Amino acid sequence: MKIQVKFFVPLNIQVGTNQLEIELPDGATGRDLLRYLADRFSENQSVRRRFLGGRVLFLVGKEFISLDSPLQDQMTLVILPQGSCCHP
Amino acid sequence: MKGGYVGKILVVDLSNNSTEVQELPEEMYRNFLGGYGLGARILYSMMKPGIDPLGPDNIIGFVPGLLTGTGAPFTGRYMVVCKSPVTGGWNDANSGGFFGPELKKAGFDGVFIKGAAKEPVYLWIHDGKAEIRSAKHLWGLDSEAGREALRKETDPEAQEAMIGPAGEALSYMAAVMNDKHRAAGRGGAGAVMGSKKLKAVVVRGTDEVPVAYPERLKEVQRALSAAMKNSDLAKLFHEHGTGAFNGPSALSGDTPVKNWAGVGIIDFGEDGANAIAGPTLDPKYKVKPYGCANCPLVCGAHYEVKDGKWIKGMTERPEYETAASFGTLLLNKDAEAIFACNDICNRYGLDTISTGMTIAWAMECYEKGILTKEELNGLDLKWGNAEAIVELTKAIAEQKGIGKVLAKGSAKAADELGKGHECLITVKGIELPMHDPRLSPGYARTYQFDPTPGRHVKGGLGGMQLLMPSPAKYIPEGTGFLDVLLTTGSEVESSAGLCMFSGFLGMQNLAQRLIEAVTGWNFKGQDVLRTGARILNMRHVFNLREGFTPKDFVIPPRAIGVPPLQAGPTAGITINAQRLAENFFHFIGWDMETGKPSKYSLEHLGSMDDVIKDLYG
Ligand code: SF4
Repeated sequence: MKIQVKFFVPLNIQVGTNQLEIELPDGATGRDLLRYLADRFSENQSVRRRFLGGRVLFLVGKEFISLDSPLQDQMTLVILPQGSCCHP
Repeated sequence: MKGGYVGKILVVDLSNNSTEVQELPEEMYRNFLGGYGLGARILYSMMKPGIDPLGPDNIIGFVPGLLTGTGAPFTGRYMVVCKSPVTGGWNDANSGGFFGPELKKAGFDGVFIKGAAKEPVYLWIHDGKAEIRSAKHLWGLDSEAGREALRKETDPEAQEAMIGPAGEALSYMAAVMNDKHRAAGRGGAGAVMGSKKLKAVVVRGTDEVPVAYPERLKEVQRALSAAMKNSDLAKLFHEHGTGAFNGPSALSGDTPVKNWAGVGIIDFGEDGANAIAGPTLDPKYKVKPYGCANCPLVCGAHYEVKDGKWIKGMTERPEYETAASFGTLLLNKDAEAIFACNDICNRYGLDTISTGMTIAWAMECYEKGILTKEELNGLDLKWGNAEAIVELTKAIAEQKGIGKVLAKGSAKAADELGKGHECLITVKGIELPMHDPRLSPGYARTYQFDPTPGRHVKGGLGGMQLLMPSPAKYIPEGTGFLDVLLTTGSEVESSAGLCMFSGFLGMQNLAQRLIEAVTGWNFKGQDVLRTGARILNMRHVFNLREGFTPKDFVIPPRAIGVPPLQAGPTAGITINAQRLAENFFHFIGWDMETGKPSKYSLEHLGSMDDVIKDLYG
């Protein structure tokens, strides 16, 4: 399946792109996507740790979905970095 | 003396125009470090309980951190201490910039000012000397014009801690300003200065503050530089400051929305979150970075608004707390309106958190028909109305119309108007800051029971929990020890004068290593715990002596999910604040009913004989 992934600011700065189209096997979950992204951006240690540690939120439309949710073909997923001014 | 402190404080009595230099023994610094630790110890001894916070018996102290002025990284900070006119109890507020190091270099570890002048004055301290000078001609100047005028008549490189018109008019939200835009903002210390007719403390110093082991200090500095180079987050923070995460915080449940009753993704939306995000704004407005003294991270920035509706020209990039208070909290997506409110608050000397929160309270009151348009200076105070938000901020700064009432803060405004109490989000009269316990439950305990309630910069579990998964972080059992450990660590960090962002670089035991290098003391993990607990207790017993008990500190139900939100990432969450508090009290040794620290724990901490006598006879 193909999904559109949008990286919410400031994650877009860290990964160097606003959006990616990603192909994943059918039945893949959010965690599979995070593993894929950790590999793809493995040269950036803090980004890699963020993906592997699940320190992100998944937004679909106006709904937050669990990182364990199965992903759907053609869906658009916004990934928000979990963090704050004092704890990035 | 080996290093870190100069061993002297200046005590000023404005009622009789006197100044006195007092020497402090080394054990004072060993036990209470500097900053608010030293401040709490000194104010407990010098001040009587029950005094009027806006009367001459209140004492206001300006106290740099223990390491401030030594060139140690991240240590450009000082703290203002006094009795708060907002809470009626202990107050400390922390600010960066360049004032703290300058005071140390001028020969003092702190300045404590009592009494009240009959006419406006300022205190001019330069290389060990102090003069009280007339400030009649400066009264009414804002923090920018005031700084310029003060530098003109003292020294072009002087640094000042001053009040703007808000402090002069005794606004309970008045901040103490330095560097034009840095604020020791919370708790109404600006009003205390105003009540003393003290426009400013101006300092210039050229002495060096001793460092016990300069080589060890350089070693730590080198390690920090290496950590910086490898940290992508440090780069992000340097570029975009505390605003880097404005966007995610607006949606994740970190930033409170619509006076704590809304949901980011529904009420503010992705577009709103994007509109106020630092990285969205910086390319358009940022002209140069700004950092505090001796800071390797440099997280501030000067902005320029070329053709704005409210501002034209230079202003400061709002910090996260400000962007959240005037943005997400009010559903305001107009970034330039946030800049304008920030600018007004900086110039007049107002705490941006309390001001934004007071406007949020007024907005909810307006929505519910508790306050009418007529009562609100004719403003249509609908959520997100940028125009009205800027106008009301101006009215609060100038104390015009409803602004005169709102300048007292939301809790006192509700009392004075006799309505709107159900919309208050305050603890002990002070507005809560911009991190929501429904996402990071530990903030509930910190906001409720730090001796300065309602502070996000005080220690506890909240910050760490932000990055933790649910549901583990919502289980209150077993949290007490870690809560105490993090809180006492933060007490040491602050009193040493370290910026809380120094932790970004992930360097283990940074405060401890710097304290050892600068002072030459043997300062290990157990010293951090014991010293931090001593400082925390010192601030806490100040409140007990005022007659407070834990029952006086009530967390607003909405802030802990009573009732829970119906949507968003924290939907359905209710925090067991009582249990979090019980765990903390148990480990720190405080009685849950009376708040009293056990006699044993005070004896164990040491240097608190007078406190033991006051509490136990
Ligand atoms: S990190 Fe920012 S607030 Fe902290 S000392 Fe540096 S410039 Fe100041």
